[in-house]
Amino acid sequence: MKIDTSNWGSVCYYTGTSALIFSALFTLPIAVALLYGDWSSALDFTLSLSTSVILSIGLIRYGEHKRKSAQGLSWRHGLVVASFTWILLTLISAIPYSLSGHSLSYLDSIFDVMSGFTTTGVFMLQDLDHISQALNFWRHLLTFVGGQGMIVLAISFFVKESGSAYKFYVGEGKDVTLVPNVKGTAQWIWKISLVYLIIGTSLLWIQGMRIGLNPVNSLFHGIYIFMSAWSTGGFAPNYQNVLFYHDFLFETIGLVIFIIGSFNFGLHFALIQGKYKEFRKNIEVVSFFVSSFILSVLAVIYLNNTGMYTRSISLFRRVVYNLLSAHTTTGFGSVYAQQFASDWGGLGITVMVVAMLIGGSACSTAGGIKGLRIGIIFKGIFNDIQKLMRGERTMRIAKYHHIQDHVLDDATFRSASSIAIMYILLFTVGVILTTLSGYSLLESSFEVASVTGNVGLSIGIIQATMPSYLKIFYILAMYLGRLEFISVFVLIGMLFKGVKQWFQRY
Amino acid sequence: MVSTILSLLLAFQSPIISINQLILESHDYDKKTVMIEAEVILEVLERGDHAWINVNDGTNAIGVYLPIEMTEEIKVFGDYNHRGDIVLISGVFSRNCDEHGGEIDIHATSLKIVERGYVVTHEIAMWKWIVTMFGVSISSLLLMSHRRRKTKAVKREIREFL
Repeated sequence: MKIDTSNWGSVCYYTGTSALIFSALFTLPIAVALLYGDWSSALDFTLSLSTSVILSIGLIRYGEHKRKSAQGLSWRHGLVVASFTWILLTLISAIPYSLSGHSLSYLDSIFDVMSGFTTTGVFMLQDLDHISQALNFWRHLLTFVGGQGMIVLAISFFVKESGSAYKFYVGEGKDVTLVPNVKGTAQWIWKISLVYLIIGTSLLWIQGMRIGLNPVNSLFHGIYIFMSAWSTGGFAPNYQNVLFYHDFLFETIGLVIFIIGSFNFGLHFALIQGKYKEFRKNIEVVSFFVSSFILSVLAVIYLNNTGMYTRSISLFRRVVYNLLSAHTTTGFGSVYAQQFASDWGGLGITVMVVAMLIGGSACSTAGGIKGLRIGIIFKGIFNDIQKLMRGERTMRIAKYHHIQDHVLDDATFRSASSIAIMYILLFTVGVILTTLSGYSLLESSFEVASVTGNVGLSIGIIQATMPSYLKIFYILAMYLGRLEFISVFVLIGMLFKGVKQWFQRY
Repeated sequence: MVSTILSLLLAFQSPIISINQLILESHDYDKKTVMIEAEVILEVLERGDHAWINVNDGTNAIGVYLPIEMTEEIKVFGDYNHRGDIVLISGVFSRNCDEHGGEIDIHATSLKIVERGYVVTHEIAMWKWIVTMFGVSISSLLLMSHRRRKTKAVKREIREFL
C-alpha cells in the first residue's frame, strides 16, 4: 500500500508558510531589546528567529512538490493545518523563554507559550519581576496574536486568496465572516484590534503616568495591559498582576477593554456599520449580561454575608471585577490566588467555576463554552418545553439573533450541545486527574475550569513544582479549549492513520 | 534614627514574616503590626503626600502604602538590570483594607534599608554568539533562495498567462 504523501505535503507547505509569516514577529522583541541595549535578549530572539525561519522553509520545501493545489484541499486538511501550526509555533516561541534562564524546563516554557497563545494567562516563569523588557513584550505579543489567531495573522498576509483559507480559519475556532472573502475578514479583525490597541494603550498610558509610573514604564505597561485585556489573556508585566497598580481607574479601564474584547468580531463589525440594535438583540450579548448579572449577584450576596467584603467599593473591585474577569476568560486577578482558596468559600468558588466554563463570545478572543452556545442550548430547551406544553398541533419555529436571524434547528442545537459536552468531559477528566494528584475537589475544579476555559485565574495549584503529567494535561486542555476540539481530533486521527499506513507498508 | 530604633525594637518583638505566610494566614495577621524584609520593585508610585511601593521577598509580592518622605531612602529598584534595595518594613497588615477598596496591603510605619541594590550584568555565553551567527547565516541563505524561487515561480505564472 502506498502512503498518500500529498496530504502531509499540503499540511507541511501551509504550516511552513504560516510559520514563516509568524517569524517576522520575532523582530519586534529584538527591536525592544536593542532599544534597551540588552544584547543578551537580542541574541535569544535572533537565535529563535533563525530557528523559526529554518524550520518554516524546511517545511515549505518538503511540502512544495508533494502538495495538492490549494483548491483541492479538503476540510480535514484545513483543520490539520490550523492545529499543526499551533503546535509548531508553540515549540518555536518557547525557545526565548528557555534561553532567558527564567524557565526551569522546556516543558515550562511550552506551558507559558500555550498559555499565551490560548489567551489563558497562567505562567510558570520564575522571578517575573526581573525578566527583560523584550521577554515581557514577547509574552504579551503572543497573547495578543493568539487572541486574534495565528492563522488569522497568516491569512491576512497571504498573497493569493484561496478556497483553503476559509478551512484554515475555521480550524482555528472562528467561523464568522465579516466580508465575503476570508482574507478581507482576517484583515478586518486586525484593523478592529489595532484601532482599539491605539485607543486602549493611550488611555492606560495616561492613567499609568497619573498613578506614578514614569512615562516609559507607563507606555510599556499600557501596551502590555491592553494586549492582555483585549485578548482576554490575563498576563501582566509584574508578579502581582493588576494588584501592582493600586488604582481603581486603571483597573476599570482594563475591565472595559476586556469586556469589549470578549465580544464577537461580528458584533464589532456590525457596530462599525452603524447597526447599533445588534448590541441589544444579539443572543451572545444578552446571554453574557444575564449570566454576568446572576453570577455577580450570587457572589456579592455570598461574600457580603460571610463578612469578607462589606463595602460596596470592595465588593466591586474584589468580587465583581474577578467574576467578570473569569466570565470573559481574561484572568486578571485583583485578589491573590491563595485568597480564593481561603476566603471565597464553596459557593464563591462554584460561581467562579461556572463563569469560567461559560466563557465569552464565539469568534472573539475569549475562551470557554461560549455565550452563543449557552444561549442556543437554553433557547432550545425552552423551545422544547414550550412545544410540549402547547401540544403537537401547534407548530412554532424557534429563532435566535446573532448578526442576523437564524432558525434554531436540531442540527444547530446538536452542534452547540456537542461542543458544550466536550468541554464538560475535558473539565471532568481534568478535575479527576488533579484531585488524584492530592488537591481538594473545589481547588481542582477552579484550576481545571481556568485552563479549560482559557481563563488564567489560579487558586495556587499551577506552579513550576507541580507534577509534569499535570502540566502536560493542562497544556492539552488549553490547546483543546482554544481550538474547540474538532481540528485537534482531526490532527490526531490523521497522525494515527499515517502511523497505521507506515506499519502496513513496512 | 527614630524609625531605625523602632524597627530594631520591633525586630525583637515580632520576627520577620514572609509575604506568602502573611497572605496564607491573613486572618491571623489582620490589623496587626507585622515586619517583612523584601526587595523594592520597579518604582515608587506617588499618590499626593503618600506613595505605594511594591515589594517582593521571593515567596510573594505585596503593596506597601507609606508617607512619601519614607521612600526617599530608596535608591535602587528591582527590574531586569537591577537588584532593588532590600528594605525592612514594619506596618499594619490588612487582608481587606477599608481605605484601598478591599486590597491586601501593609500601611508602613517604618522603613529601613537593609541592603543596597546593585546593577546586574548579563554575561553572554560564547556558544550563544556562535550558534546565533551560524543560525543567522543559514536562515539568511535559505530566505534568499526561497525568495528567488518565489520570484521565478511568479515570472513563470505570468509567462504562462501571457
